Amino acid sequence: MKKTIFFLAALTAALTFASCDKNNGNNGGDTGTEVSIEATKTGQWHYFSFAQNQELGVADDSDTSWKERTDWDIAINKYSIRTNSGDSTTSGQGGVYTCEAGVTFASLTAVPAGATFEADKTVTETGMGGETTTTKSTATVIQFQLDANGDKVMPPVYLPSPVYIFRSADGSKHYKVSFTQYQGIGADGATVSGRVKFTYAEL
Amino acid sequence: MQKKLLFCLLLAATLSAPLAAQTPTYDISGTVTDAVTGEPLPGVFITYDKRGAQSDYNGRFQLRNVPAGHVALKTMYYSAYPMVTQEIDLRCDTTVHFRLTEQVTHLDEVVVTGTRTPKRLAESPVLTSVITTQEIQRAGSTSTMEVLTDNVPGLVSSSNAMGNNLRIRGLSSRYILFLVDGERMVSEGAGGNINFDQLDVNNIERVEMINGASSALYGSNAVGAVVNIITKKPVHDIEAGANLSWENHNTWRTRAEVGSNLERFITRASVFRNSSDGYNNSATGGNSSNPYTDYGANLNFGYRPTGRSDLNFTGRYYRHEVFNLPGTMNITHTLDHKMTVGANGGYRSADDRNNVRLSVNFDKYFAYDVIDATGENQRDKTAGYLSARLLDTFRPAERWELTGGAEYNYEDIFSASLFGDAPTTKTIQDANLFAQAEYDPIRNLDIIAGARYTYNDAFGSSFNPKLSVMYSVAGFNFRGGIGTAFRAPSVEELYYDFYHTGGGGFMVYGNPDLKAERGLYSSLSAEYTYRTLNASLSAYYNNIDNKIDQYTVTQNVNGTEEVSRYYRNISSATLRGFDVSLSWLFVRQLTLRLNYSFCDAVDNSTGLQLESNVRHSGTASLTWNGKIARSPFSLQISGRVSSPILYQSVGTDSTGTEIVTKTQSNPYSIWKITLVKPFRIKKHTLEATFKVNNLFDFKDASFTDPGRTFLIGIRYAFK
Repeated sequence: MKKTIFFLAALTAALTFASCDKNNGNNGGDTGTEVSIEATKTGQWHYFSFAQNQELGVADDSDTSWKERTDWDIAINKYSIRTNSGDSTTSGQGGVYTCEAGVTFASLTAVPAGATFEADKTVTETGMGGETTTTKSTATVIQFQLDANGDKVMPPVYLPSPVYIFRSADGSKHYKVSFTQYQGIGADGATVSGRVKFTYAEL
Repeated sequence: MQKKLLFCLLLAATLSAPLAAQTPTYDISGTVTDAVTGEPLPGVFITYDKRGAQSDYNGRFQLRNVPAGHVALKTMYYSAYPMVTQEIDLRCDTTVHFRLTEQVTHLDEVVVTGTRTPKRLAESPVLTSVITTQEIQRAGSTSTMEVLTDNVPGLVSSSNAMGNNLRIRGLSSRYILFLVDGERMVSEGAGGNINFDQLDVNNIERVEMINGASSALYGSNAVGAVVNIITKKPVHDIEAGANLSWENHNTWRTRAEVGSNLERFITRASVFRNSSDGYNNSATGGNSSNPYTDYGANLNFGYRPTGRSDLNFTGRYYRHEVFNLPGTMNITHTLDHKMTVGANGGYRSADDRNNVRLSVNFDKYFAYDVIDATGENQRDKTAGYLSARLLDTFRPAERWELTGGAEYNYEDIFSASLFGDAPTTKTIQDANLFAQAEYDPIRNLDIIAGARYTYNDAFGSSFNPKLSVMYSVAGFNFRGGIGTAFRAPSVEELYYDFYHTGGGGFMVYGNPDLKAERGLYSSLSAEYTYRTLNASLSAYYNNIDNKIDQYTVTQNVNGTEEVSRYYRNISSATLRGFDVSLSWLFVRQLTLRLNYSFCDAVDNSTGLQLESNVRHSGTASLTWNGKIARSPFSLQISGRVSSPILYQSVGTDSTGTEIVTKTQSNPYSIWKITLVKPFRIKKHTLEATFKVNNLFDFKDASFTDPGRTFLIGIRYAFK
């Protein structure tokens, strides 16, 4: 009898500890879920849903059919990010909040009180290739290092972005996201930019 | 300015009587000292006829058994101490004291760049600026780039990871010909950049600079200036040395060298290692510089089978690895290798009238991307430059010197991405014939006329003549010159075919039909020398036509805007200005050097100043060669000052209206102070250097510099 009780107690304990320690990424444990998105082609947006943990599709910058959809939460094009909000959508309630420097993915446990979520805007940028107009959020996969003139250091130096909190398209859920990778090695051995990896978890 | 004191001992005269049948011989002894500091000069050769002796570490020398009669004693030392001749009528054992004065004016310095043949600086018909190794040491310069920025007014350098972006008078590196011992270096980047850190600053014997067109002698790129870096050759039987220095940000520079000059065989080998942790001031709105580790090696070997022929071999290797600053997300870093191999030989005829020289030089650059995680390399780009030349100098009569030559150059560039989707190699070759005649119709008048014919397989042929005249009178040298120059389109400008991902993304296309740019340069100068003062004033006018420029074409393709950039020969630029230069040993022990440059560099199609031109610039240095308790030291304060760097451009906005943008940096004022203290014991020299760089902590957005830094260095030499 004692043996049985002891055995059951041990089994219960083992199961409890096991479920607490289980952190094989895919079930959204404390360390978050890792996602890889191959967003290496300029002008192509990869649409993603946090709830489904799946890339929903790829579309051109000019494809406006995604504005009607509410199944995607964020979209990635190289280092640019879209949320389902503002000018990127007709009805979406998404948005992004940028955490302060010093906040890490692990240390963030709840949405900060009074946090305001920024919506996407249409921006026109003038670069060496002329003017480009696109819709995107203020969040980026990486930050560019700038020189003292405020220009991007060339060749580009990629600095880590802060931790972001993205609001889902329906406005009900919040996800903390940390971007961990931007570059990868292509088949021919050259580096590719836009091989994005990020970790996310629901708050 | 030397004084000699002669003493004659009469004792030996009576003893030599019985040997009157043979020529009597006597001993000559004495000392050699520096006229200014009084320091003994060791290692000075005192020669007569073909025999001689060297002064020891106390400056003492002795010549034994010198035949009586007329003896001409000559001193031979570093070129900064000009040769002194003392003629004596030897009748007894004699003592001679030599006091040699280090020249601040370098007039006896032998230069080669102006005419491709060695001439005393004072006699060179082309105005040449010289920076000597002593000046480099007294300024505590730690890199070849620093030597150039300290001494070339109007030089703007902005280093980025693509190399040293150099501009002199608004002209990029592509308009300046950089040579090492007269040979070209391959350009490593799109803008014609060269990483000067491949040249060990301690290997520099002197730097010769000529302003303006020299294509008649050197071919393409000699449009704005020619800078020739001459490396050291060993002088003593055996010499060795080592350096170690530390500067802020864990910057270590170490080197070692060994050399030997044994009449027939001359060898020199040196290695160096430089490394730094870099610095990151971007958080406070400043610039940053990446950590790096450099290795380099040099080997020189010379063989002189007879007094009239020589054969030389040179090899150089350089490895440059630049790492990412901590905290970045880049997954690769860059690794460059540089290799140079050269051989040259010369023969001088018995009557000294004919001098033939054959040289071959090969310079190759390899650029790799290294994956941080695995250490695997990916070859990104290679560039190679091969040059072969035959040069003959003939002196048919005393007043004539004729030079003629043929040259062949071959350049190849391999890139994984710049010339199309697949990795491709592109090449350019050219063949040249050049000739130059120097004639002195009357004493004090020197006329040089030269011309070069080039055939380039990309753009065709180019003919470039040049005429220089020099007239010397009463301490003045008046020089005038006019000549044309050309810049061949680069491999990149001809064959580019790649997608530039930054700045919104656009295609860049080269233009294989580009023609060479042409420059017409004229100058007038006056140089005055009086005792320890040398001053010069030079005015110039440089007009460059067929300048190659980029232009943008925007097309609407399927609703998206596609931007492409092309090259064409479209614009012209005019540069006008004058340079003033002064060297003056004005008080015993104090030397002043000043340079001032004014330049107006205009892009004729827009009327705006060329990018990065500086209107007023100057360099200054004051050196005190003093003594503490009879022990010498040198203290130098030097700096460079310039008016703002100008950035002016014209563009069109989205509505097609022209907008003129004019921005500028702050005026520059950067100073440094260097103390060098040598300690000499017999043949060993130990030298300590203390330096404060950027003394007043000058900061500007356009200036990549860590701010005020301190340097401590120690140098050991054995001769």
